[in-house]
Amino acid sequence: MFYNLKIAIRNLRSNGLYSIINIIGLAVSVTVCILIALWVKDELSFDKFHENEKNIYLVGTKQTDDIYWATTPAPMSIFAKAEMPEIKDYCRIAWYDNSYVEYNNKKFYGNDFGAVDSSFFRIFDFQLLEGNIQELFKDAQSIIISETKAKAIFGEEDPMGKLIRLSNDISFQVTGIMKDMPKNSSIRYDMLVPFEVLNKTYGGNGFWKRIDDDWGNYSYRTCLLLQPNADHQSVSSKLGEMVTRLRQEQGSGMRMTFRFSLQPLAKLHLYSLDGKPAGLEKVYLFSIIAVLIILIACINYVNLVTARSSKRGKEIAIRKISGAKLPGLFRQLMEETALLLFASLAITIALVYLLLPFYNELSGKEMSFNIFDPSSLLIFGATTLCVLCLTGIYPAILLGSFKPMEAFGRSSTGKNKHIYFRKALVVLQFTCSIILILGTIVIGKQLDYLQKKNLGYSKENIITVPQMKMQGHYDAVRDELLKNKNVSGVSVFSFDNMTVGSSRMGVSWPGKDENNDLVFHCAWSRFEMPELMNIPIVEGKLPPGTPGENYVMLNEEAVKQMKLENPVGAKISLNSDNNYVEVTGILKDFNFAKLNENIKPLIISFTDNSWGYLYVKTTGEGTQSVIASLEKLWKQYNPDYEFNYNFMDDFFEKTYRTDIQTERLLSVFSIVAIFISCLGLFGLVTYTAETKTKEIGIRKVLGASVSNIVNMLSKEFLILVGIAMLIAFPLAYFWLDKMLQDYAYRISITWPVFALAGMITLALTLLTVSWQAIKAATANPVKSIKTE
Amino acid sequence: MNTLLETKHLTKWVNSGSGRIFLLRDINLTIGQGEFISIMGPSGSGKSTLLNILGMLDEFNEGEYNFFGREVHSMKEKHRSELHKENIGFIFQAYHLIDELTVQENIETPLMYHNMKSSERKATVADMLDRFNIVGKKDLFPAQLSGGQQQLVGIARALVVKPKLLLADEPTGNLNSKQGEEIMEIFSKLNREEGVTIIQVTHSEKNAAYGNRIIHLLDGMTQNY
Repeated sequence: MFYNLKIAIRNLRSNGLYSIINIIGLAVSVTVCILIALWVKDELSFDKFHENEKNIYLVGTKQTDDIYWATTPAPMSIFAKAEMPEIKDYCRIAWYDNSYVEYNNKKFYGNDFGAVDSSFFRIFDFQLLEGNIQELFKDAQSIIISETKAKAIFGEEDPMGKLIRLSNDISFQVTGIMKDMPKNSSIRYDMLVPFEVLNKTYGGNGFWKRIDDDWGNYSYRTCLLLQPNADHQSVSSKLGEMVTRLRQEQGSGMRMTFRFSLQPLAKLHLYSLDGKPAGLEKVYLFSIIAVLIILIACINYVNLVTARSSKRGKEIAIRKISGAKLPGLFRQLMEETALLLFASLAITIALVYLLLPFYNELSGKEMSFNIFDPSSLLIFGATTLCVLCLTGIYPAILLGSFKPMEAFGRSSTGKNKHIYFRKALVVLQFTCSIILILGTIVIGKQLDYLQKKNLGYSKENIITVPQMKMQGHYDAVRDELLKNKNVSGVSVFSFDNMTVGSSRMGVSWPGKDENNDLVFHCAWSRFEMPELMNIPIVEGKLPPGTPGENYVMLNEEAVKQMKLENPVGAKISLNSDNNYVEVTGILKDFNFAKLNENIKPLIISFTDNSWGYLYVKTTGEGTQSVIASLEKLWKQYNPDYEFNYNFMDDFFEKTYRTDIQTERLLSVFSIVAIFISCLGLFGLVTYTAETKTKEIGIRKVLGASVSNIVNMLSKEFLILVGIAMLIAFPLAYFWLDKMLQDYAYRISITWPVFALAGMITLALTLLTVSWQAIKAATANPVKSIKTE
Repeated sequence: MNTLLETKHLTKWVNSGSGRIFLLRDINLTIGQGEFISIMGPSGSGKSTLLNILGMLDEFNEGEYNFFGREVHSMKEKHRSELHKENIGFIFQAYHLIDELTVQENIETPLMYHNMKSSERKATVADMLDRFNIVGKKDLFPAQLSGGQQQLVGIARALVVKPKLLLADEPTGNLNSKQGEEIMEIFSKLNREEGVTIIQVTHSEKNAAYGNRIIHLLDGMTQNY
């Protein structure tokens, strides 16, 4: 054992360059592999920590075949549990929108509030540290807070029983402390209040008297805990039948069919509501990349070992003649591989710890790595074993099966029957690298395209601020802002960043085909909006007079899908009741959703009391003074809230954050892949140049110039890379074309993309190869020939 | 007789530890076109070094070297290798054929570096094969030939570019005496009939006698008898 170790160390040392190439290559690739494994582990662990994980479902409302809402009306689950024995329990969850918590005259910002049913801790495995699970909330004014928040608010005091006031001026008594909800949970709140508290918004004068009666508000997430053997498909269809029946019984005259879907909680993170594995595809993509990168490094090892086998062959042959048996030789060679691998693993561990902070930033996660953690050990062990098998077995068998006399007779000019195998492996390496490079280029170009795409409005110099209590004081706010000479315009739109997060069905219009139940996106705004955002009115005009409930505008897509012949002046009913509103004009289509989707029909209403966001356009100068004006107004109307503003120019970064992260990670991985591939190539060229020393000498004596020799040495490798390109291009095209289908607006993959990828690869190859080739070509031929 | 090359006080040394070891010291030679010269001397006397310098494969430290009226010592590397490529053919003791290439391809190699067109190359090589009676062996690899045959290929390869000067470093060193004689006959014929200038390094008095002048080297210096 020690003997083998000693020989192995000597071997690694005497082949310094090759050992370093192998150690660095393996270390870098295993590092990347582990980083990816951490990411994958984190992605897959979402919502898996609940004991009932398999029986918890989130109910989604199916608007049309491709529009889902992740929310339902509040009363549904109450009726459902009463009617269906399959439903063991339910819990409704809603955002409870508050900006701060006040205790002892101190305000604490940045908390997420959730309104939940008292079954919350029975269904989910979030840990309640203090408090009573059976009687979670004493009354509607109880609150559960997380450990961290409790410490921040109360310090050393015992929080239990204390009163805190929320920004909506309601006081709550702390009745429980919970452990912080894990980061890999789709449900995350800092504080929980009882669901009944939402009743306070029902004054008793509206159409719906209580939240538990309100069938019209689809704002609540509903989680169902089913009996272990229940069939969730049948539950979802029963839910649809139930709601359809109940709504008809209520006599609202609605002849609508309601449909729901049940999505397992465990799939919430990786699947979208329509069952598409959006997140999972990324997990697969990165897993494949991890495997490819490991493969590339292993190929380096195998290639270098087999290339040098003629040199090793003589040692092995002598050992065989001296009586060594195959198992012994095999063990010796495997031990050598293992030694090299352990050297690189030591570097890997250091690298992982070193890179993790950057990686977290890059991927937007908070992953941790502890080598002694069982799952880390598992990842590490599995990777190591894989690499050991991939790198060790083939060369060991190859070397072990040498015929001794053949090994002696081998000429030193590098004739080697494994040369084709090696070439195939190089082609494989570069195919992987080129595909990754192409992926990076195409995704980068797609993001660039999305960023530069004309959305149908101009987002330059627009600052948005939530109105909150400015709502209803619009004229005063606008007039005050326009006093600032740097403000060129003001308006209101119901959502931030010109997105539209609200939709409705059941709209009727003259000549409506009964089967054409269109889903309309709905927004509320002010008259200034089209001009402020540069959205042209293609037909008709803005509504007359002061903003009121009687007029709307449509977008072109709505007109097209409604098949309205004379849209301007048409009377439509928004709620299928007999209140008709008049269409006064048609707005040119603009993109109000992520560019993954096409433009959908849109209705814009103009009301005097429009809620949503204030849009302020600046002249492009004096932005700070505009923000100061805004802040002054904010303090006047919303003194209790933090002042937050948003530049619409930043919109892109926020909307496509995951796409940008994918692109960044992918580019890092491609760089690693091409780096390791080139490292291997460098080793091979060095070896080729070494074995061809004599031939190069002869050729120089015969009159070959330096460039002749460099050509001769590089050509072979450039051909291999060329073949790799021919294989990689169609594969990459197939993959990327499929990936781009996710975007309604996308670039087409054209030849310049391939040309660019090809040029990058060729340039890197040439750079790698030529250094050694030039070195070999400029050597003194007299010395080269003499080495005979 | 026109002078082909001329050296004046040609000296080469290597630094070794504290002192210098002289490989060649003050060599003065004048060689005319059409001469057939044998360089003789014991091992380590500097025969091969001199041959390599004359062939412009190696550098020297002091002195002058004029080839065909051009000053080799003040020439740039690029011009020197150009001069070498155009005028000099080399033959080695160990043949130094390229193992991966066939006989035909080996002979063709220097022509490729002379930017000759493919068809022309083929014709020139065919001439060469014909002249040395190795047409039947053109598709064999060096390993499939005997030593004498390999050296024939080596000579054919050296001559294919029609050099003015043929340098041979112990061309018969690895051959049996019969094969050696054949090679010497070829040299002598080349010299007589085609006027090729030949400088050969040899250990054998018999082979040296084929030439018309003998230069003796001892410890890097020419000896005059």
